[in-house]
Amino acid sequence: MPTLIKPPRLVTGDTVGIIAPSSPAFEQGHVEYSFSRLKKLGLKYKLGKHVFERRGDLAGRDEARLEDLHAIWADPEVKAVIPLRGGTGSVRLLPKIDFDLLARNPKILVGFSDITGLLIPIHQRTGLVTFHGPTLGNFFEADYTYRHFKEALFGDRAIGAIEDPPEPDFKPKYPPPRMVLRAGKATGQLIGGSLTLIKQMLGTPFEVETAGKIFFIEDVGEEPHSVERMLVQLRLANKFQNAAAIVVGESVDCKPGESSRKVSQLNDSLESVLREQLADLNIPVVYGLRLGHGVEKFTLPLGVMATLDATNSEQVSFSIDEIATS
Amino acid sequence: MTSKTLIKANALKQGDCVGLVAPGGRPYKPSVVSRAARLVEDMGFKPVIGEHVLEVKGHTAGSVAERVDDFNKFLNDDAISALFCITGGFGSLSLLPHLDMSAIERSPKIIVGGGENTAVVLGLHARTGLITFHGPNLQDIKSESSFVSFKSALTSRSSLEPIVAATVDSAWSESHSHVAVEGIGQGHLLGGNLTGLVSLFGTEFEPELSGAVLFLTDHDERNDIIDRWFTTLYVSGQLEKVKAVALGYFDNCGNKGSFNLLSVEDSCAERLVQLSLPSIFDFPIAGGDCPTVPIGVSSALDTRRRALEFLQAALT
Repeated sequence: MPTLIKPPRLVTGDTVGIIAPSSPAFEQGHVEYSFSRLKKLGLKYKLGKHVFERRGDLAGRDEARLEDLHAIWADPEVKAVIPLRGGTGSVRLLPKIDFDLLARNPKILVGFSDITGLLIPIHQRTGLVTFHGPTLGNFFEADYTYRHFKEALFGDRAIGAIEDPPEPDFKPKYPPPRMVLRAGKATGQLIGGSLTLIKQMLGTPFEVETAGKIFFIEDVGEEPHSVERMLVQLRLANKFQNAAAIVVGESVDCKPGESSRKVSQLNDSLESVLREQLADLNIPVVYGLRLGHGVEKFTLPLGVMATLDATNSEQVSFSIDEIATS
Repeated sequence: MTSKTLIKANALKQGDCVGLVAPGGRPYKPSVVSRAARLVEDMGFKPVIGEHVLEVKGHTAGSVAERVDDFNKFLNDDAISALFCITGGFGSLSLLPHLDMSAIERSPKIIVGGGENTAVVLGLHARTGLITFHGPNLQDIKSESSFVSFKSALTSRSSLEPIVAATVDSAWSESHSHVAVEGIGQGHLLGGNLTGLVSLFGTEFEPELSGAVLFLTDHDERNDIIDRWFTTLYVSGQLEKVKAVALGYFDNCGNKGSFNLLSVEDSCAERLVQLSLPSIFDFPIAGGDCPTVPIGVSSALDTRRRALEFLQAALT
């Protein structure tokens, strides 16, 4: 693992680069609205040449998406690279990414879901702190998301303790944000992202390195039996056993029978699968933090030190202890 | 991963006992089990039903311990000559670290499965060198050709008859094998359900793909997910070490209402062409009503002749 590189933090007036390394944007109007929100943050933006291309569910051919990633990254004016959205297709680019170019030009990369396929490999190959947080289309979806995004990218100090979004008095959301599946306390560098993407990279030169780290995962629209198979594979690959702690984020629509893949209705709940696969590990495991596909999500910098204290299930604390930018 | 020396089981004879297991999903009603037993009787073998196959735990046929118990009991029972899977479903991968590899090495038995059970069939082959079989789970034997192929693959001491795709070059013919890259590739045969194969990646059960003739299928899966796992094969560097690829039928796969998705052909062909890998789509080796084939035997895929030849016997 190369030495940790912290990208320069954003300041008002900076330019960000917009690329589409995975799937294309849904609607032009939404993208234009996103640009107006960037302006509100005091940021200018540049677009990759191919961001509005389409090839099926990909935003153009691999070569086009890769060209944009390299061109935007090499642009000295661009201080942060923000994908339009996730979707699918980032992992297809990995064999041809010029990681040296990326390492020579440290800048912020922020995104989640399919963008995990860039966040983890770029962090592991270059040492650069990358940011698991909203994409261009999401950062203004909720006040909570917006504040954490801004704090992580513009802040001049460590993010510190993460608080949860306000809970309604009645009909609270399930799962609660900090369900303790196994008590304990751990400190370590942050690593993680979308479970599907982490699974997709197992057995490749880009597979996640978790030893000694606080390993977070989340997913969306995967039925519990499918999550189970991914967790079993990760266990067989020894990715949980040596981690310092596991944080399972709120995983939207990962309920039996709710898969968008329309497979048969099955009965295990995600919680029962998580308990079976993770609760016997000798490390703290917490489930429910708002870091995934819900509209409310905080931004996590990969590679920086964090602490999870779940010794008291009534008062679980999660803090990011080190500044993520330079 | 180093290749193990091949181990061959004995060919089945009339009257041999066969253990029926459900390593993943549970048979959704008891008659699925009784029909499976009847099929085995009709093949001329004696079915012995695993104790826990009708247990219910969530979506699986009992707990991991119960499913492992059924499997290992049969592996250690000298009266049992083969293990057939009743159904696929989900959950087979959990069994692998608990299966009795030394029993297989001591007393090799025929092991057949497909779909979700691909993980077991390939994982056991990878760890022990046993020639296992990719074929239908008993529930999915729904035609005489599938029944005949299953039986003859498991009773034959000589190399199996080649699989040849229909070459009717008529727009009216239903099955169109489509050649992506012309050529011949020779190597040990590996493959099955793509999801099952890729679920072994990064684990000690990952099969040796270097030098293999690879065949792939999947079912009930959206195209972009198939592209994800095919991308894993490519990005891992394993695909370029393969000698040839036969893509079978992808039953009930497709865009599932997301009409802009690329087809399986779109997303796989470009990488097969880029690697100049002899390869063919819609080849009748897996999925649909396809035959039962041995994992690990020497084989040759000739896309010009649209034929896969078996160059070695799978059983003694």
